[in-house]
Amino acid sequence: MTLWLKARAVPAVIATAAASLLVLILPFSTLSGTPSPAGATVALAVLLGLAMPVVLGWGMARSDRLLETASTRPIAVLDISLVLGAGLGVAVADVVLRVAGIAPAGSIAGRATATFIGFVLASVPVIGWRNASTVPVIYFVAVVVAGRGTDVAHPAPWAWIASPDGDVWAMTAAVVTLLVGTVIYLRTRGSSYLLQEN
Amino acid sequence: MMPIRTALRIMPAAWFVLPVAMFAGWYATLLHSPAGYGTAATAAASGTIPFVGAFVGGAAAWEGARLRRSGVWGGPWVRSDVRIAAGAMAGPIAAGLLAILVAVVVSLVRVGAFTPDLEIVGVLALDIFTYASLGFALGVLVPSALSVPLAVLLPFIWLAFVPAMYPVWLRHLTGMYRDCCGIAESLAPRAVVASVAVDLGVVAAATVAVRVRWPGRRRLLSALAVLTAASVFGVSAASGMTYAPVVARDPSLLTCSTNNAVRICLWPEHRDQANLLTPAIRDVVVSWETAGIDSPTSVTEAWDSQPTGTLSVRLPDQLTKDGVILAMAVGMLPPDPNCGGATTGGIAFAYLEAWYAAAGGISSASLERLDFPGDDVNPSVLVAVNDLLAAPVSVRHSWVARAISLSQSCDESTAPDLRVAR
Repeated sequence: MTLWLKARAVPAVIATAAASLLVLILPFSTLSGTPSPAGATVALAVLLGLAMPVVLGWGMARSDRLLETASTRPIAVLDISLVLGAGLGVAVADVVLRVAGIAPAGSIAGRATATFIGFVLASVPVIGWRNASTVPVIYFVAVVVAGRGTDVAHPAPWAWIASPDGDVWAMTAAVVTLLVGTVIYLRTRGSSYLLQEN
Repeated sequence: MMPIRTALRIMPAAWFVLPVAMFAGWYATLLHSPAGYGTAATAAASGTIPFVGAFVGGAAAWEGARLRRSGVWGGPWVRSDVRIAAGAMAGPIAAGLLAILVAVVVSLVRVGAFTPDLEIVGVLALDIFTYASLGFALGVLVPSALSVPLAVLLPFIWLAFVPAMYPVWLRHLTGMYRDCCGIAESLAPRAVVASVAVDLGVVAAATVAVRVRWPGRRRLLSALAVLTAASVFGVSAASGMTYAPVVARDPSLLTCSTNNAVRICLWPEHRDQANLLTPAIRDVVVSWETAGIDSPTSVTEAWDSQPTGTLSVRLPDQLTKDGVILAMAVGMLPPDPNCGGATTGGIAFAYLEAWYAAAGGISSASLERLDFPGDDVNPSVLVAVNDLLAAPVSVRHSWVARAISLSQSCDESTAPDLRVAR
């Protein structure tokens, strides 16, 4: 277990989770910008949502997958528990901070985190852990560059991470993305790509 | 250098260059610039740099990570580090340059200009090189699961969010000049110096950081020192500027002609339309004289300080008679008062603009678009204009003087009275 904790950089994951929550309660996390004429207005909190997927992707990509298939420990169970536990844990904490009135952008950050974790999990069977965290980053850039909807305050339906706080469609889309990503990951976790990644 | 066939097989820069270039071309169509002005069109195309820079950074980080994983970087090879780095960065840089080039060409063609501003193109090329250097350094130093997302996000945050921050001149450090230029403006040299300094600082810091044979602390301190020095220099160059990286355009580019005692000066972009513009401008001046308005003796498109009797105008993109009249009416307005916010006397601007436009011969349809409802004291703009048209010249003179005085007042306690004396 100690080796697994070290291999997955769990201390770094915990530190990142704590740091992202700390930044979320700072006043500037409510800042938003519209950097592109065709892009959505995106809160800085959405950017915070990328922290966990990126650090989890790095942690999961550090070890020798082929070697781990011979482990007597339930590595696969531990891995998905870490991803969902840490990723979802931060997302839930974001929302709780919002409900408690401590972090006004909490639900936006939580929704983004859930969405990004879903994208990462769905991407792992295709491109591996090493590259999976690039997918939510590209999605984020696409939203900011081309995610504008009917007007500056309303993003396109596919750019739900930029939706206003309390948008039901956006929260639903985030949860569905997370569920679909988890199902795809679980159904394909034994794929040959995982074994050859490193 | 890597053979092209190999590059196509293994380089993300090669896989995605066409979609990114096409996207940059489409994106350039969304960015506004004045018709015919190459500098403004090139500057508008720089608005594509946030995502092109992110793409270049990510692709370069991928290449750097490949060298890191394979243990090639820092090894005792005959080939120098510079050549190895150049081979890895050539693909991302070429892809970025192609995307920027497409954006510049589309932007130029869209506004009917055919001469790009080479200074801006040069800065954009340096931007691309900078993000490639940053991405490559991250790829060499950090595992790819971290370096690629970081190399995409850092240029993007720098280019997309810094321009939204205060102080407003921070945006001039980024090398993106989408707020440049109106037709009477050109790119401010200070903005170029600031962004070039920061770019060179990042490149130098990345160069120091990847010298893996140096001790880590020495690399870190050297990179920080270089970056800090470049940032301080860049900030000192840009600080105090407004949000737009512009200076007044060189007035020697104006083409001036005298028509019925009215001197008219136009920028090269409007030289072809001089046959239409010159009589239109002269007619407005004559109409104003007839209406008793103190008319200008000279009309120019330049916006720097002009001698008394000279009217500065910003002609619209679509050159119509009403558009010219409206531009001249706006040019006749007094400057905004420095009151630190909106004032009750600010209402006078709408009345003055409509009066100058009506007296200049604007069509009734265009005049109706300038209408503005009155209040308990003042009539609507159109009623006031009709009253002025029916009034003798002396009444018009005194009304204009009173309206100008009101527009400049910061007094919030007095309600403006813009009624026309009968």
